[in-house]
Amino acid sequence: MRLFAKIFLCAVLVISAAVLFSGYLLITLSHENAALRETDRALTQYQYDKFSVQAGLISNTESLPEGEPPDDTILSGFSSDLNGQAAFFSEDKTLLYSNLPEPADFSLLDGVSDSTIVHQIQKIGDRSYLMVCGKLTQSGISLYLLIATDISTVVAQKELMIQSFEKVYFITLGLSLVLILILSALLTRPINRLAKAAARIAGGNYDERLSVSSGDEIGVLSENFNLMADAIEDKINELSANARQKEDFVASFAHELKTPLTSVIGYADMLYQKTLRPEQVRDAAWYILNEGLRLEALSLKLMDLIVLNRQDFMLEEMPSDELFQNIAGGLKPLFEEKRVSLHMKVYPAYVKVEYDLFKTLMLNLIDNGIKAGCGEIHITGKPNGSRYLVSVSDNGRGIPSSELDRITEAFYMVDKSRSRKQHGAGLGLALASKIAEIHGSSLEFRSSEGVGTVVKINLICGRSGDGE
Amino acid sequence: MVNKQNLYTAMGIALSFIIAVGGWVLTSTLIDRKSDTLLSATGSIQVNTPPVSPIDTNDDDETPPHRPTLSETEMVKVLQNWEAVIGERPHEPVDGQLNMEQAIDAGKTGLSYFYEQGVIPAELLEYDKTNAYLCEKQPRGQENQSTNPYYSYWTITFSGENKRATLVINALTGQIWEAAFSGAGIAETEKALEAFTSYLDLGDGSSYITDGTISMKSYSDGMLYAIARSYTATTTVGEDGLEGFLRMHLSTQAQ
Repeated sequence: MRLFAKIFLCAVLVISAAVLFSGYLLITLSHENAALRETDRALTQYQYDKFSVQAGLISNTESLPEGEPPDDTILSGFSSDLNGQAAFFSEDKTLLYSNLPEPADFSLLDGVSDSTIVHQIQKIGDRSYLMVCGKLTQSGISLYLLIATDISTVVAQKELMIQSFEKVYFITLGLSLVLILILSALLTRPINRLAKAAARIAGGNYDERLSVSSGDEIGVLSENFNLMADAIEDKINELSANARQKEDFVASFAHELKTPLTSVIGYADMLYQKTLRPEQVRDAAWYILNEGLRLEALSLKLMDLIVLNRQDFMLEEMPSDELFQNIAGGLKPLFEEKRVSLHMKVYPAYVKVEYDLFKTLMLNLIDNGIKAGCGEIHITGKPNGSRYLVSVSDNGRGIPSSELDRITEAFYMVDKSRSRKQHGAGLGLALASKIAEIHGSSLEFRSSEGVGTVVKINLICGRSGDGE
Repeated sequence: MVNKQNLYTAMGIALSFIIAVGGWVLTSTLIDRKSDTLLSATGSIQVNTPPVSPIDTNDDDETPPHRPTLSETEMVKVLQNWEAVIGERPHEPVDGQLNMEQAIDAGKTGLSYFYEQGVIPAELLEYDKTNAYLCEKQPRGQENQSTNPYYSYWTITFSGENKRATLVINALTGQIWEAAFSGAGIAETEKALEAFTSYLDLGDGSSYITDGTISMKSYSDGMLYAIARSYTATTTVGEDGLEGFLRMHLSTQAQ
């Protein structure tokens, strides 16, 4: 059942019960009060009428036979002085005179005694009468006097009240229900919008959002729904990017495997099928060795990447000067071979690093600079608050600014042909970026084509170095 | 799923209308039943049986029965009750109070007295119809309180063609505390007041005021007043075509 129908049903139940119960109480109490009031009035009137009859009997004492009840004519005269319609009965309850409408029921006489007056409501024809009956004794004559008062107005009043209440009930209910329908439609509209938006999101429309126009619970729900949709959209985008990255990774990996393998297979086939001169055999073997080395480097770096993604590393505090001296010492043969001069200016501090990984990071950054054809590499390190800023700059050919965003992607190479010639696989900066992440930082590149590249990394300072 | 949802919704709305109409039918049926029960009920009330001999009468003795008398202070107290309460309630005489025959007799005696004193003409001693009822003043909401015999009064009306005498008689003492006459040949207020105060044995009073239509005497340091007021209206009644009205009564308030 729809929510508005539930609200409607509940409202009908509550309003009907409340109005009907109130109406029932109102009408029955009013009717009871009216009947009680009429009964009181009739009993009072009976007393006046009884006095009137008694006075009449006293006035007629001389004309009445001793102990005999008055005749019809006298009783008719008595009844004409009374306010209501009356009936007179002798002491043995024989009807003497009556001007009551027919057929009146005189059974209430049975309950009457010298000290008891009986009253009863009777419906005669289409009218209701309140009968009051009692016994009177005057001047030696005993009579039963029954006075009937027409109380049809009380019954009519009740009927009128019921009719009025019927109108009030249905009009009130009708108006209330129209109001409730409008209210429930207004209340459920944002919920319906929410349901439709959820359905559209489920259908793949992740940029679906709700407009939040109120601060009530539904407004809060809409706001939370939008936050949830934002989170879902972000997650979906992230997952899509990851999936795309993985696809690119696999495609690049396959391509990077294919290129050296094509050379290896080609030269091996040539060696197998043709008789070559010793120089040609040597050249072919060199190519095969060269491509094999590339494949080995590729597999090692891939292994490193996988390890970095899976393993947790513990950072250890080290003095920065000692760290960089060790790294520079290990790279000295490379600098000499490549005829690159290294300038290092490192301020002492304690930094938190994983030594082997950090060395790999520095090696990759320096290797990148060398591959960019630089003649000088500057390494600087200085504390910066709780951080230690390391900067590696070269004067190589630089990186186009349009490529800067992608250079840390695996297998991404700015100049693929040159990179392959230098046994590059496009994994060095991806590795470096991952290592920087492990060190609680990221790589920040600033490069100008033809001028050089500066790479910055913010290491975490150790506690031992706080005082330095 | 949607069809089922719509079906339930339609059923819910239909149920709402059934509840609305059914509730009404049930309520009106209950009201009718309650009304039928109420209108078919028989009730009864207990009333005082009038005492057979409410006062110490002696049928063999010709002397009038001894009636208790009230002091002026007691009279003031009774009058304050009569004047303070608007509603009256008829009731049967209780012990110590006059019964109807005695009240009518007291009324007749009073009429004779006022005739003898020249207050009313002889025509007012002859009447066609007599009515009498005994009431007490009872404040609203105190209907179930027992009757105090001091505070009840008989209202006796003697009426005939173009004449009427209405007497309010204290149900305990049998004295006329208020008398209203209409008809021709009624005396002036001064004479009427003299007869009225003499009837009640009130004496001369501490002050006396008269201006022709109202005569008044005060007693008990201004706590009790005897007042007579008259006026005339032009009618076809009487020798001079004037009908007179006279009202004599006791009061705690000056006019």
